[in-house]
Amino acid sequence: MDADRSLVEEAAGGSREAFDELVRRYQGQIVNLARAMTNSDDQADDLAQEAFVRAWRSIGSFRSDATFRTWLYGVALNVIRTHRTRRSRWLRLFSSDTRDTSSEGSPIDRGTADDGIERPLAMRQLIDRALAALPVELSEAVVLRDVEGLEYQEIAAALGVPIGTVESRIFRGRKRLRSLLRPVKGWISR
Amino acid sequence: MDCKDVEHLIARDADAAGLTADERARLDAHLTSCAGCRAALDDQRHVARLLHARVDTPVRPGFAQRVAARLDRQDEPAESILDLANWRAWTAGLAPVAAALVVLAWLGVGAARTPSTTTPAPQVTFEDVTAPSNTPAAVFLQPSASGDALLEGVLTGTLPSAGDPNNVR
Ligand SMILES: [Zn+2]
Repeated sequence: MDADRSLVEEAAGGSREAFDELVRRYQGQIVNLARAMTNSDDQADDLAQEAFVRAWRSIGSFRSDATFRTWLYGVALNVIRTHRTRRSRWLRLFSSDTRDTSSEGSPIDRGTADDGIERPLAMRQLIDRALAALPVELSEAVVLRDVEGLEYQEIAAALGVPIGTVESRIFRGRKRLRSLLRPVKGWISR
Repeated sequence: MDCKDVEHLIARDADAAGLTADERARLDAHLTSCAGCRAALDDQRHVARLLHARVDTPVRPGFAQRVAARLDRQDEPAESILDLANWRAWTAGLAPVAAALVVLAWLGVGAARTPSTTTPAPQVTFEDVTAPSNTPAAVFLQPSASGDALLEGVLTGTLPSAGDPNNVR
């Protein structure tokens, strides 16, 4: 059922070769997740690395009632959440007001799609900036569904919440994104 | 039916996650009579399509090798680079520095009090090393204070008293 099963079992038994193969298999998804959640290429690379390091350290605790992919997303989200929480604490500490600058106004106001960047890249930048402005529990649900393409059941398992909570977070997350992404309207229907 | 009760159906319908026949019937019945939820479904679909069209981030070359190198390091520090943001983690690393400062201060005291010593100790006196007693540096010169307490004080702004300034002047 889980396509990674034998690799995961080998890795849990201490095989670095098996784990390295799992890294190659999932690096794209985890880097992409971290990019969407932080709006930063550098942070995405760092956080994805950290996620795999932690996954290796705790792969012995992986239980096969979930798929490895779902479990790995859970590990990565813990790393990303911790990072976002610390980051906003530091921003509060060092800024004169208490607002998190990442949620200041519409993120789209601070960037434009017509600044010479290729459209798909500009679009990704605008989307990730909008996602970074959402509360983390809303952005992670939306990213797992609409960016990473996980099933609702998988998202519930990765986040450790009931499926109804996932649906509600996705609904509210998209609703907030609707206004943040207004300037992008029409890009995909042309 | 309340709009709130169909939100989860709208979320799933918007990205074609699939509804059961019963859910479909309930949602359709509500949508026929609720313009607000029809608009909400439209908005949800729009955002879902935008996000589906987002191009994936390319993985930087050598990513898997960098992870492998980190795992290879036998003596990998327990604290990762991410913990730099955590002052408790990185200030713990300063404890030996604080300890060394305390030892230096003791040496300074010894040198000042035993001028007749045959091997001249480094001529470090309090006049040389002390700062005004209300600064963190003065606190470091108290041999009795623990490194942890000092660091905690310096970083939280609740410095322990540097004691009677006359002691160090
Ligand atoms: Zn309604």
